[in-house]
Amino acid sequence: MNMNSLLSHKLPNGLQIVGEYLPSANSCSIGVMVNTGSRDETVLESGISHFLEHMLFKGTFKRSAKEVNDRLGELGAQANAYTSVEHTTYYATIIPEFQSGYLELLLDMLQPKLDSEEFDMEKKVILEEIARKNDDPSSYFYMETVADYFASHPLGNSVLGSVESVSAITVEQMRDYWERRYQTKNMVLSVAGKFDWEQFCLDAEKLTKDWKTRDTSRNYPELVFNSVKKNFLRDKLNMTHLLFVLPGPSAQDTDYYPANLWANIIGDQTGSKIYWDLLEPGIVESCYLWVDANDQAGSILVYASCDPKNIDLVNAKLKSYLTAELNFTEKELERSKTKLASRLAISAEMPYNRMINLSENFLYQGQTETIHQTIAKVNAVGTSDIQKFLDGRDFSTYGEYRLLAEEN
Amino acid sequence: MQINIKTYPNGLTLIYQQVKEISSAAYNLNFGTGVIDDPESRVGASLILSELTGRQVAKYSQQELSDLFDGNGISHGESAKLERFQFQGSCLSAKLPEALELLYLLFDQPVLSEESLPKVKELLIQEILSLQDEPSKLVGREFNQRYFPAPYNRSLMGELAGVTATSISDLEQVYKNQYQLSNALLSIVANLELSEIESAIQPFIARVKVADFRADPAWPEFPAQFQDHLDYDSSQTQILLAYKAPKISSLDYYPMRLVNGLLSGGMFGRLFLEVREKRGLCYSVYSSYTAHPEYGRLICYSGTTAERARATLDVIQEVLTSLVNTITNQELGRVKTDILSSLVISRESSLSKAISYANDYENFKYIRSLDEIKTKITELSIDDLNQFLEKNPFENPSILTLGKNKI
Repeated sequence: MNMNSLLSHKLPNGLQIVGEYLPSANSCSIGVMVNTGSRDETVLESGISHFLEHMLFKGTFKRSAKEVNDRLGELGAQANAYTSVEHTTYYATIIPEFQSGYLELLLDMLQPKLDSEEFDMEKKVILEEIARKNDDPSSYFYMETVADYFASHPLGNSVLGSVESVSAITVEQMRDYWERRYQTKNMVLSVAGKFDWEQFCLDAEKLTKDWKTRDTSRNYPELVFNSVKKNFLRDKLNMTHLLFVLPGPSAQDTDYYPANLWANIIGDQTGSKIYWDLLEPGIVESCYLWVDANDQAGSILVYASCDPKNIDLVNAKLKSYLTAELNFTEKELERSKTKLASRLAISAEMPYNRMINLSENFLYQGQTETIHQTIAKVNAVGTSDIQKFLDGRDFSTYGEYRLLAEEN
Repeated sequence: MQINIKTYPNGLTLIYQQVKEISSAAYNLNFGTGVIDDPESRVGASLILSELTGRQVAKYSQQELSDLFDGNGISHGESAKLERFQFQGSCLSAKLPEALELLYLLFDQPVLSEESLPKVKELLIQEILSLQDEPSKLVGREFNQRYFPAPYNRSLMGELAGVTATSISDLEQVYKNQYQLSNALLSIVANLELSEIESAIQPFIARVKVADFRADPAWPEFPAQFQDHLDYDSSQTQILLAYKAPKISSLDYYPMRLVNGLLSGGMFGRLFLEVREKRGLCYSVYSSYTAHPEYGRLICYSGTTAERARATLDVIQEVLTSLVNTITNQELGRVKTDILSSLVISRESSLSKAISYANDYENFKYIRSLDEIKTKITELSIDDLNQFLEKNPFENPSILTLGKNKI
């Protein structure tokens, strides 16, 4: 068996399994990434993907909620789950001897009972999570901005939902959503680290032999970038927050790597334009520029928080980067490639990171790649590729949002 | 895997582990004392110093230094903690000699310039002000200020007045006092021979010892038990409780770790089950055990909407007091497995290994093997934990709440 190769196996029921051995690992990460999130919800379902993620820990037809939690403990599973706009992921990192035990539990959890008493109790927890996010200015601001700017596109759907939408969701709606979205062809089972691949595939096939599958779909309306300028207000705020939303590449776009290198040259936390112009002089408290590449649609986001007295300066400086002009040197590009390649190589030694990489690779590209292949793509980007990416974007229309203290 | 530990004549201790299968490398350098030793009217000076340290050295301009780090793919961070300065970095193993050369330059010849000082102050002042906007972080800061004795109750962000007042000559004095190797600990994990590491840190080894590092300020008796509330306009009320717990050197250290696991381990801990799962009172609830050479404490935290805050606080306290004589074998088994698994998993990355070795050496004066920890954890029985809980009942917590209404 080649201990360094990528592993792939498709079960007769359509469930795709991917894996990768990591020679230095003493543990393994196992996860299921379901290709569903808030973008796949109807208006009346707002928040249901994330609510369902919670409900997968609340009991199956074989186990009560307490038995699920207890079993995770018996397996020493460092387990969690998260929901994004387009993925819902359940995972754990475990020591290798518990591989079969955790896989059995994970696959059982994917067939949730959705008990109505548990459903009502968990709804209270979700409402508390919404309250918590609303108390944090940067989380609140990000959620409000994305919802406002992409109001007419599924990518604007709130992951958490609102107090009103979550309160109105019924257990029947959730069963229907699960039926529609949690199909074997709409998820990937992934493992990375130290594990037994043959056993993993045998277990997965046996445990899912009765699973039925049907086709699922996702809508891909055009993501439109209009000129929008808007302020949100909040009581007693020391910092002012700023967010720009601009057109960016999708996860499948050939411009994905050029865009990420451009974003690194402009917005990395060290040695970038933003570092020298805003972070190093202490003009901002924090500032980030990143590519938010989603399934067949993407954006570029620029965020800053600063003392209100600096906001106009920060605004002007950030806008100056957002032109189609190439405003960096070959040396800067080479440095960014080295930074990205080094970070990718180091992070790839962690089983969790590779498990997530493999899952995303498969859901976005239909295939996985080694970290060396990813690094080769980073290293292959030239100035002309970045120029092509910039030429293909219209940065003249974008969203410009601020979160200000009410007295300002 | 073998860990080499060497102490050189100038006081520097090197902890090195070679891991053959990895391509990454990481270092962690602890030295001096941190924020607790800042002059009374200059709290935050050590934070300014550590920030300036990472920016420029005598040999290179700011731009050149930044280019050298980035061009070699070295991630690095220099910070001042309460009782230590801590410099960390990670890169590919092949670039570690360059990383260690730069690390020495940061330690030996940081440029403390009048030009950079106001920029760093501006950054720190914004961080201090920003804390007031974030209730879940603010409650922790306010709690520590009330809980610990001075100077151990200082903020890790510094104080507005102290940061504003700090001058270059203050920083030069802090540098002179603090940047010494006599109590320094450098832990490294990489795929290089020990001889290559020693060669790369030769400037550290050859550095002349100036003086023994002076002892930390003495710890008075604490805490003064308190119950306090801060008015804050937020949806949720933040709740923090703290109980006295065993110090790191105590024989009760491992029993307390297991008790913390029973309360807050994985998704089966009693706080999670009773407060969140059974009653739906909150999203976030946990306990955390800190063991220090001079103190130990168990923190319990939750954030919940104002109308549920009273019930949440009550249930948390009930869970703690009801633990004694109710622990089951299955529960204990889960906690042991959870702690041992998380130990293995937390040592997967080179940087987390380097940090964990440094922490062990600071706290225990040697590095505990996984087998040793496993034995200590495995041998504890329910009777041991009950005896511990009877001897150390969870009572008289210090409590701080932050939110719209006093509970």
